[in-house]
Amino acid sequence: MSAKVRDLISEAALAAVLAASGVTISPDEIGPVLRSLARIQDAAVSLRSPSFDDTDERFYRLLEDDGLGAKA
Amino acid sequence: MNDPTALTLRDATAAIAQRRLHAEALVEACLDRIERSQPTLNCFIRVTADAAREKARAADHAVKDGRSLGSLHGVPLAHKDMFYRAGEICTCGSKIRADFAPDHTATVLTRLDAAGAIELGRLNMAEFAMGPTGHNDHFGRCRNPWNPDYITGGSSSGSGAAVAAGLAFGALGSDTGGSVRLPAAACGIVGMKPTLGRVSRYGTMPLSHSLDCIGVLARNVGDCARLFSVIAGADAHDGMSSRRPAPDYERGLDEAASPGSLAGVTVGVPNRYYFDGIDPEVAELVAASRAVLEKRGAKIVDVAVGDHGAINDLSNAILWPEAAALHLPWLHERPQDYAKQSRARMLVGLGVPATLYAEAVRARATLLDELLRAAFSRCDLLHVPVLKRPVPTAAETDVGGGAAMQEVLGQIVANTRPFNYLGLPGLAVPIGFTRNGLPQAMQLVGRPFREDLLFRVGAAYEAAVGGPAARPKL
Repeated sequence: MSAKVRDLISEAALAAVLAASGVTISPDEIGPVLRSLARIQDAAVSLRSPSFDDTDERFYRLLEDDGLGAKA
Repeated sequence: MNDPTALTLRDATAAIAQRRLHAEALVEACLDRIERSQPTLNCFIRVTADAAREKARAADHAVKDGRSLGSLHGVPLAHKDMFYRAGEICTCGSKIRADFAPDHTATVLTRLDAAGAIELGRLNMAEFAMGPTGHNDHFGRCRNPWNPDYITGGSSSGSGAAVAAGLAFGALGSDTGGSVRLPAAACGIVGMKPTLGRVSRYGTMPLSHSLDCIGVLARNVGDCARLFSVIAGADAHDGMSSRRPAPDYERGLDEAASPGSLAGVTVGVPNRYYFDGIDPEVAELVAASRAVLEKRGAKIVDVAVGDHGAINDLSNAILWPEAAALHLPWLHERPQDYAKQSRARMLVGLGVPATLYAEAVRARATLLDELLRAAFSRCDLLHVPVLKRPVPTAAETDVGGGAAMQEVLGQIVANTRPFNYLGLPGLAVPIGFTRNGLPQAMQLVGRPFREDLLFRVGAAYEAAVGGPAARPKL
């Protein structure tokens, strides 16, 4: 996946995003959220990027088609 | 009959049909166990005794009249309090929905009703199905019947504990990251998390629409298969449910009990992640369960899997934004009514960039395709532990929304959540006990829509080891 997503979030940006949601958040809640997001981003970076043509629909089709094709 | 609650679900229905047992007596026996266990286990949010008695009387009358109500005729069940029944309170384990009475009934409940099941009441659960331990700040912690100091697993905590304790013959649960398989494993019963789309979600509380699955918990594989046969299948009310016809999942289970029944079945053992850092005691039980399958004729092979640790983490990029979006109005208006842990987890969802969410959703096709090609081209199912360590105590996992939350909860769901992301079915089957006296389970993971094979392999294992373990004492 694109490493660029890593750059999308800094602590200040995150605080702004959370504030924009309208949910009241205390400063001590920002750190744990940031750590969780960093972990998610690390995971996204380490996994193979989906191809341009990969869509949500293909995932569901794969589930359905594989089920149909699996041997009994 | 001394204690009818000790029967299997399938034997109980046969006994009722043959007039050796009255549904009314069976319901009374369950209600008695519920009353005695509630102060210790806290499985129930609400007991609907009068309605259950009334249905039991109707079930007995039907037998007398020579009518069969269905494959669950007269069987007492209880369900996680997130399945809607028109006009009846459904709390979702929360303070926020303490007075919520939906105007429609879940398809899964309609199907269980039509098969003759009797509902005893509503079971404890994590608030809005958001926690994997069994803690609940509003209704109190649900406790493990093998030892109340230990967790039940969650979020279908009451479903696991009530079925294990013999308070009900089966229960519905939901599984978004392990919430059926974890309580099944921690309480020593069988739990099926189906393929995404196999079971209707109409009339059920949503948490994450891309990941939510409705499953069942029962004391043994055969009982679980019977319940699953009733609820599985297409539903016109749920546009996301698969139109594929559902088979009879009980078919072939009796034959599975014979020696050599697993000849031709190849069991894959992932070469990474699922056994990383596993507790030696758990590893020993899992290896022994694999040996049982091999002795029954299964071929065991190592299979390559990708970075499922990363998949586990990436699933949070879907789960929490979807949950946060659902809860946003209440996060605005009633933030004080959430438990700290639920709130802390949803805040993550507010911070996930939209592009990251979209990539995580799109990547599912790539990663599922990869697993099907690399692993399932060489085997029929995967065999992994549900938990990597012995069931922890409630105190060890009472982390609220604090700094340790992510690590502690992350360890519990590590081996279950990747299969929600990938949409694959998983069956938790008990495999013995660790030295702390708590159960452990293997997780059989199949190709899409191969729940039938998972039941067959689970039944073969159960038969080989002499059936499920004895029930915990009340």
